Amino acid sequence: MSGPLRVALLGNPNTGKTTLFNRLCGLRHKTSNFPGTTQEARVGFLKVEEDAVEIVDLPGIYSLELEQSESEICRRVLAGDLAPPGHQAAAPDVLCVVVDSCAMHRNLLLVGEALRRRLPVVVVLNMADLARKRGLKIDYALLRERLGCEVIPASARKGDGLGQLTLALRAARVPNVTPPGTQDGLEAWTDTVVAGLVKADPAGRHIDITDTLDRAFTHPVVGLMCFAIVMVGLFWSIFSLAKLPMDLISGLFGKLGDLVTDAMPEGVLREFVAHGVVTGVGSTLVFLPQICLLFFLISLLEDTGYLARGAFVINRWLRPFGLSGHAFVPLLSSHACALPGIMACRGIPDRRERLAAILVAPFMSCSARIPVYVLLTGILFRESALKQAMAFVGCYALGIVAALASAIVARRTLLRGPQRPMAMELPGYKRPSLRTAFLTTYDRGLVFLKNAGTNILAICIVLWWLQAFPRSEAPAQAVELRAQASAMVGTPATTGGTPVPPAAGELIEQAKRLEHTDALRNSFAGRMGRAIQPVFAPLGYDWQLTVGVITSFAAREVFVSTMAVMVTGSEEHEDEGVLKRIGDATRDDGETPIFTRAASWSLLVYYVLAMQCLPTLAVTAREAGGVKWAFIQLGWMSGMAYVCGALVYFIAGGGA
Amino acid sequence: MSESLASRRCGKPGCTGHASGVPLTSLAAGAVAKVCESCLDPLDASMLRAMGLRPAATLRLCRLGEPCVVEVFGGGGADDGRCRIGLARLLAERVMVNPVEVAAEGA
Repeated sequence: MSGPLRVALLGNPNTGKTTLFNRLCGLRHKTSNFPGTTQEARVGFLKVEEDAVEIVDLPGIYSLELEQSESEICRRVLAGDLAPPGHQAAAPDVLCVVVDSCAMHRNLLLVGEALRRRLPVVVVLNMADLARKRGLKIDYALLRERLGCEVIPASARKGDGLGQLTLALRAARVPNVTPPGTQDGLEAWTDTVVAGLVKADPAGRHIDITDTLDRAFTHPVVGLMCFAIVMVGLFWSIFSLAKLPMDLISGLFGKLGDLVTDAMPEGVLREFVAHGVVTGVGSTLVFLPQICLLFFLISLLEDTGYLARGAFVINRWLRPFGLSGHAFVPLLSSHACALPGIMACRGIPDRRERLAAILVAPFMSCSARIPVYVLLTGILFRESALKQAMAFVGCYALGIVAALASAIVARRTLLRGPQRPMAMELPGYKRPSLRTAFLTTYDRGLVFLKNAGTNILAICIVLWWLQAFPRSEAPAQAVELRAQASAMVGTPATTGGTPVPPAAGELIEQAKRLEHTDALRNSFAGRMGRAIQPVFAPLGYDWQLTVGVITSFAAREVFVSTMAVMVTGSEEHEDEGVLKRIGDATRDDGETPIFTRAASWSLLVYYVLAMQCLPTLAVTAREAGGVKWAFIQLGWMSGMAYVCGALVYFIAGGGA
Repeated sequence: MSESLASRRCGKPGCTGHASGVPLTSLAAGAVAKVCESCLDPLDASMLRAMGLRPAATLRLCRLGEPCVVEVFGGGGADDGRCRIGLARLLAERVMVNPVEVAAEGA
């Protein structure tokens, strides 16, 4: 045989197909999207003796004949019209159909459809251990005879039967049974196949608490309370557990930047490596803990069977906005960071609802907005912590309202279409698999780093360049200060090398602040700020605020550090003194505050609503399946932020 | 419209009644029934059919409300396989069923 044996893995949702894929391939797999679709394509590799086997994990479907994107992808892969990126489109050598041993009757419909394709087929009866536990005895020999192909009992979770399966894949033959071509005929055929196949052992029966749990978890009140508890636990875990690794990554890259600065000779290359590359890589990796934790916990929750029940509970609250219960976790997780939130939208089965959720997720106030909220609410309510807190809550509420309103608009315009009532299989409750959760987390983390991460790095480098160039001469006042410092120590004044007296050191620091401010003022970003300022004039922003808005286009939190550089000449903005100095800073006339009351309100509303996060746009383009969706998101959010910001400025008396 | 037909109206607006069966939502929780027909949109109907909720399928209504939870059995009863489906009430009230007197095994 030339090339590896190509196996397509097909099965109903909740049959343990992905667990089987993970068990067979482990980390030896690649994840991408099927070309031109948003549907994930996972290709794994394994060796059976000396032969290479390549396994494509197809989307979970109930039927190949349904009019839905997942079924269409499966049809095209089986017909040899579609293949994962980098693979030649050709019909698979073997079709491996995964069946839930405890729901065999329903699963056999898809088996029948697979047999009709006239490809070599192997049927895996997964969760065979669970069937045994429930007292079900399946006559495998009879099933082989009735299906005309190899049938392997297995337990993907425990790894039972996998050796037998890999051997069967190599020896697979075209089945000698062809089920009827009509739906009615196929359903009757499944009745015939399953008749007398399963014997129940009454001794194996056990008390089933599924009904009791379902009644509680889907109850309008009790279910909502359970859902709230689970979600609070989930997000508390993400916020609290991710904080330490995020701080470590931030600190590590801060130190790495310092090391580079100390080790390399002064110049453009040093700045590029320290502020462009190191900052860029750090900005990418800092999101990773939240993304990994979210997907790890969601995978565990999904595996328990609870998430399907939770989706029903919240469905009734989201339906009026054109969204379904599936959208809740992605939207809520966007409060930590929109990136994992948008990636979690993969779990929304309906394409229109998925796109709507992706488009509106960044309205949710993420943690990157917090420094901006702290600064602006502090400026607006300097004397009242209570009012600051209320304004803070108001920002979160405004984001949620904007997201839901935008979802209605999207579903009634761009994503118009029937909102189908929810119907979903409720898988049995079971202990979650840590192995599956780890592999899912690894997969999602890798996808993020490979796709979004590279974009984020490129964006950070471009922004560094805009702020670092063109180089300008040091301002006269800074030169003067340095000269004074030199006179004090008797040598050219620098901060490295020779120790300098405290007074001279203070002069040097002042000179550095002036140089920083002047460099930013004359950089491309600064010039753009001056050029674009008239656009932001209706919102009450002077050129300095405009520079802050432009430089924070990549990430909102950059606004505060940019303003710190503009106003104080230092990026340090952690202490309250610096925040106060930013708040008290004046415009070029030396009298009018930069942060007038009206401008501050306008800016606060602007930052709640605006799409000031390029990594989010990169992820949106990838997850929604096209750059056009990223532009729509950018246009809609920025447009809304601009109009609302201008309105608020006017109402707050800024126009007077 | 005859009285019997009127009692067999499903939840679809304008439905004048079905020849047989009663809406799934008219059963009490715990009741066992066989699916006879549905008044669903073709997309929903084909999806539910693929999920196992097909004509002549035996089911048990586990929970009535929003959502309705049903357990669908295989042709020979619960031992041939069972799967649990959550249905928005809007869908459930358009599925017509015939109640079965004797509860299915394992139900």
